Amino acid sequence: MEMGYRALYGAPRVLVLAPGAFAAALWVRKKDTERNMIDARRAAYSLLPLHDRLLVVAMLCITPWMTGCAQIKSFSVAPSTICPGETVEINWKASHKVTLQASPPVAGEGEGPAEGRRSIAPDRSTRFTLKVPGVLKSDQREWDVQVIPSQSARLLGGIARCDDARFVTTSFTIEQKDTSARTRAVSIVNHYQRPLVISKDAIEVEIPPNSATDRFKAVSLAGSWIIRTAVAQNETCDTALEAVRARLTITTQMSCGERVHGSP
Amino acid sequence: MAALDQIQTFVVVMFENRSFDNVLGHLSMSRFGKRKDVEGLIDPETNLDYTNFLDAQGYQPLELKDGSLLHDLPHNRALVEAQLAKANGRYTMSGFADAYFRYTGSRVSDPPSMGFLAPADTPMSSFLAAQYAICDHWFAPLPADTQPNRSMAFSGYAPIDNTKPRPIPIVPESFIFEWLNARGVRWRVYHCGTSFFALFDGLHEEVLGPNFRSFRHFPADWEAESAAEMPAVIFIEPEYSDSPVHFGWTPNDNHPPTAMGPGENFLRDIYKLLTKDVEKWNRTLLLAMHDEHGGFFDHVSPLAISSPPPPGALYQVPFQSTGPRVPALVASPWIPPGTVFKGPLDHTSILQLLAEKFSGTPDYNEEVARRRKAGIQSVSALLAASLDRPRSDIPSPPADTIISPVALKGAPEPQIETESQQAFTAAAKDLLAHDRKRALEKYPELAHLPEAQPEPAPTATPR
Repeated sequence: MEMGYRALYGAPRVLVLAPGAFAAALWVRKKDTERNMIDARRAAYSLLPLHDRLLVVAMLCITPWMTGCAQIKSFSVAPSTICPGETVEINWKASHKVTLQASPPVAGEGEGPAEGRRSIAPDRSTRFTLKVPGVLKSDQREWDVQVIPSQSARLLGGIARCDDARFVTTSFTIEQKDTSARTRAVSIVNHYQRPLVISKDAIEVEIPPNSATDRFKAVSLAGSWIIRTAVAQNETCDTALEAVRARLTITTQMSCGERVHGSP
Repeated sequence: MAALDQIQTFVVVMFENRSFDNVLGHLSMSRFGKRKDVEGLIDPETNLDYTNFLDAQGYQPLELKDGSLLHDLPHNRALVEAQLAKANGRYTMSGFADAYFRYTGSRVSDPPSMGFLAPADTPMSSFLAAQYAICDHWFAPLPADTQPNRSMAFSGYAPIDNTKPRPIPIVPESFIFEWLNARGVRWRVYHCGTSFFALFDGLHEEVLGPNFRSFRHFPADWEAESAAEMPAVIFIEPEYSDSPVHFGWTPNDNHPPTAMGPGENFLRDIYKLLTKDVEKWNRTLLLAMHDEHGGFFDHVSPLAISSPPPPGALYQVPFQSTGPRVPALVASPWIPPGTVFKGPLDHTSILQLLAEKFSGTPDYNEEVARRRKAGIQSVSALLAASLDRPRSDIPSPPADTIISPVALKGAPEPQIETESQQAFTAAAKDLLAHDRKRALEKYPELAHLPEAQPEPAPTATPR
């Protein structure tokens, strides 16, 4: 019978309650840390001589204050897409000291203050993880940075709408915080069985079905884009919207162009 | 209806927080069997019908390896609304990546909310789908989180629209236990650890009473009891991840960040027990579903069935739709292998089924009747295509070890307590306060519940 009567607790841990006073080896499952610690404190407390009890009381009073419920209030990495050699700026605000990790490792990771900022230049696409350890509760967030050209394809788009009876349209803006000013859309692919009209800055291009264009190769990816597709003769705008499942999407192949004056 | 007349025992197992596409969407994928009869995912990594957006970046569904996730996923009312992303009168199902970022503050190229599992990670669910029936249009009744949806499941009403650490109010004379008692129907709840029913207001005496038994007793009860003694309705509860104390049970409710492996093991255990005695199995219907989608992507729009707040509700704004689809499997020897039921169902379909069986009408109460008229069918509709006689075969479940990453690797570091976790803790304390002696006899793990809690932590709503 493979009932769920499995042992729950993980590796044993040693919990030190007061300096030189008592150490208890406990089977503590990570998720149960809080309640087991309280049980352990209670059990250990009854075994202590009086003078050590005072130490325990003092520790119990200050521990939650020192390392209780950790919380990350904000964490961001910008830009999320960069060119080789460029830096990202990492900002965070937390309740306690933090640990910044990177995978793969990069120079600049490590411990930091509760509130801080750090500039790092990853040479490969990297996942940054900010951790705030706490005895009772910890907190963690992750942020991916894409370094071109390691993964240069990018799916862009948005929810479409019928602004007039002739077109199904979506528009979106790529913010500077999301991409380096040097990124260029060297190729834009239309995956649909219908033509797409792409507009950016002063350029407007119609891409035939299942085709691509390089007309935006000199244009920064950052900025406002419009994608639209014409409503066919046998369609209403509503059925055209249904045909594209209320979305319009393009795939861009990105590369890094020349540094623009004033860009990072 | 022949099969419904023959079935004498209904076994309901409700897991937590997975969408249909997360668990069973793989069934229709070309690399996993390509079942055209199931509305699952088709070429999910490239199909632009599924694209989700966050700041104009597109995100596609991705294969997720089962294991402990770094975070729970967003599934409260406001963030479910963001996930459904209604535009131009349509639910576009395009906000799952965005909601994940809003809730966790984590911006990653592979948000787990877009994840689906391969059959190797859902072996028992995939087995039941192949050997019995899958309902591929079973929806969570409400686009909200656990407590409102479980309220709907067990009473047909949701006096709440969110999950909070407070007793869940019950609309008078609506709760399933009261309904069954009034009709003389024997019922029982088998629970692993703390029962979810302890979270409902005024159920302390039931939860501490003889109808609630540890799942440890289930094998012996099932074996020993005659048909005359057995309960007609059995609810089997997993060990809830959000329970404050786990003693003797690994969380096996499938609630992220908990992995699916333990839940799949649990479902296999239940199936093996139920099928041990052919005579009893021939009178049994097993229903296994998830209470809500838990924040995981599903590509099918919810049903546009509204739900007004019932009298005394703690909210005013009606729900305009159901929640997303959830995995739902039905097993019985009366069901042919490979059955796919495509009719619209939700958790109140169980109440319709029980009402048909035990009171001759699907209209369990006014709200269930209203939903039926709006299109929600009874589970009995699935049995309309049942066999004339029970199958002679009892398919063997997968024998391979189901990996349980929670037990092997340990859970992630403890994170900020969610409202659901706070609700379980509050319910456990209420139970102890109600009758400590009986509570500890029934739920001995509550002896390990800390009496003193730190100051209430802020909920996990970063950004």
